Amino acid sequence: MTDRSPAPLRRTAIAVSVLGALIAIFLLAPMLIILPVGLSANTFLRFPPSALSTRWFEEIFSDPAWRAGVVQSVKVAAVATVLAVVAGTGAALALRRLRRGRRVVRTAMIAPMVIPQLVLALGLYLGVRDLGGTAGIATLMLGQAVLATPLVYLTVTAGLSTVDPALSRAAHGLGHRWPSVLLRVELPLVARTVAGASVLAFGLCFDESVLAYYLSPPGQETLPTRIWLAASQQASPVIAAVSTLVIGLAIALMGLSVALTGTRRDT
Amino acid sequence: MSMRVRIEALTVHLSGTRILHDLDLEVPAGSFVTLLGPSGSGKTTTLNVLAGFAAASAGRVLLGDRPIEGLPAHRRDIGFVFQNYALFPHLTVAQNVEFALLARKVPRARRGELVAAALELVQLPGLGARPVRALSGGQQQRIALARALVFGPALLLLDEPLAALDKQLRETMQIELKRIQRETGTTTIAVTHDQGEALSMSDQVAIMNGGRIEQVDTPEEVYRRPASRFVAEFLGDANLLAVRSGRVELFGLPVQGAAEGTTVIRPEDLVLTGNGSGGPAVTATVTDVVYQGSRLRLSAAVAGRDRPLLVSTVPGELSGTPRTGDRIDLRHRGGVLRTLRDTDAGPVAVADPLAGPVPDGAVVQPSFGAP
Repeated sequence: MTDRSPAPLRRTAIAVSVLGALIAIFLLAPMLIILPVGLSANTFLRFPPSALSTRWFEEIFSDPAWRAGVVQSVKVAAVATVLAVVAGTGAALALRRLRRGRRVVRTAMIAPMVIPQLVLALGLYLGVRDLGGTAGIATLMLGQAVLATPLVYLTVTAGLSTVDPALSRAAHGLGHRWPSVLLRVELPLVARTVAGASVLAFGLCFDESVLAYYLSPPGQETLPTRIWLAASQQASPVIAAVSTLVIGLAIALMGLSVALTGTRRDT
Repeated sequence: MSMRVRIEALTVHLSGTRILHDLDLEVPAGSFVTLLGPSGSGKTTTLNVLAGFAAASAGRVLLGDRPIEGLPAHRRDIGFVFQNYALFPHLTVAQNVEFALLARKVPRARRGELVAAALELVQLPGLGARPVRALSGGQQQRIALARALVFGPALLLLDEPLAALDKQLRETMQIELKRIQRETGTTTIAVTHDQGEALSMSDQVAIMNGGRIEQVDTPEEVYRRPASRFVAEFLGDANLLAVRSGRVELFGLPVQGAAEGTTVIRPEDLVLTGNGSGGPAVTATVTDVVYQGSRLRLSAAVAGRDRPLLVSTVPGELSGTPRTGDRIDLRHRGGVLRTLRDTDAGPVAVADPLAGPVPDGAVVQPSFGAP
């Protein structure tokens, strides 16, 4: 097919491919540096490493402080994901039925993506204090849920667009009230999309560093905060090793999400 | 179970536009009525209001003696077959058919019996375990019907039920639909833009135009005795002729109704030979010959008329096939003619028929050939 396309088109295709490859290299280059550094046998951050070993990866799993960070991140991300999935999926399903004002609500739903995270962190901190509480892990969970909700909302909305609206009407016409329509028709049809969105939301919350840095109380830091603290105190390759693990997890979650939402469309 | 439907002065506005004007329609229990009209005539809106998917601005809808216009869709007890069937893709055939029974808290054993009976009715027994996406278009249509009928609805609504099928399947399903409707005796209202479908399936056809009903009658009556110009032109081919002093222009036949106006003469009512009983013969020149297999369609120019007359005849009845340029004698087959009511809301703007020959555009030729 390609050899039949006119020459200018073929040249454009080549140019675009080259450009795409260059951008990919630029984006992925830090990972190409971090991985060897994490595998370094040296005591200090150094590139290229003079010898290779897995000692820093071993240290992560043996050091209780790093392990606590991982556990904390998983806990916070899991709760935030549940909140974001409920809010985002609910909004996506509800907005489909909205006749008027859909654009306004939609914009409001996406707002957390454009609001600077620092502003959100400060707002949550001051808000909780004004209400008489102390910002802590619960505040952090709530904040991360706010960040992840637009992601869930957008993903589920995209998934819903492939679902025929007549199906909901058919279910109503056959005698089912809305909770039954939701449980029997709408949710099963977007289940895979919701699962994919949950994975993405979990990835986002697990890596989230700004809110975590400002809101986690001392001694309860999540993994990104711990990396940040470690990097400011020492220049050990263990940081590169932890980063490699975090990046690896992100790639694995991305792949899982694509696998969940991409194949077999229910229409 | 089957019930009478009565629509009284139904008016619907959708985002500021009036879609239905003061619609009245009575559908007797157990009968099959088709709403037929061009797109935008309000037929689908009528169906959606009946089902509870669209709200009425004014008017009443009675199912039996119960007003239903204020009820939500899930409390109306109406079966609906969607144009694209809207089968639930994540469920099996049996689960789809069973769906309405779940809302009605029917015990499991009874559900199984009803589903089996419904699948039997649509002649697809034993297909229950299949996923719906494995079905062909015709099978999906039948399953959609089974799903809409399994709970014994008081009314069955069909939205363009055969539009998604190919021509041969459509003809088979017309007969099937009619059989299933007869067997269950369910009051049925269908919407279609296909006149062949409407004429062959229905007990009564309601012709809709611009949010109003132009005429409700049996298929034969609406075709043979259209009440308005719109109906005459929308159904099949029509020659529109002026009426003056109670007689049809050209053929001189007496006309019932208003003494001045327009009447319709169907192409198959004109005969080439001297066999016709009514009125004098008219001499015409053949301008076009279309061989359609079972029919032969001629266009014939007549002195003093802008538009040629359309003539539809059986090829075998003629001694020889006329050719373009031949002079022929036309006669009317005879029968009762009547003056048409002019329609103000029609898409076909019609000039005053008294002003002279029937204007351009008066003879419309929809896709449906002469029956």
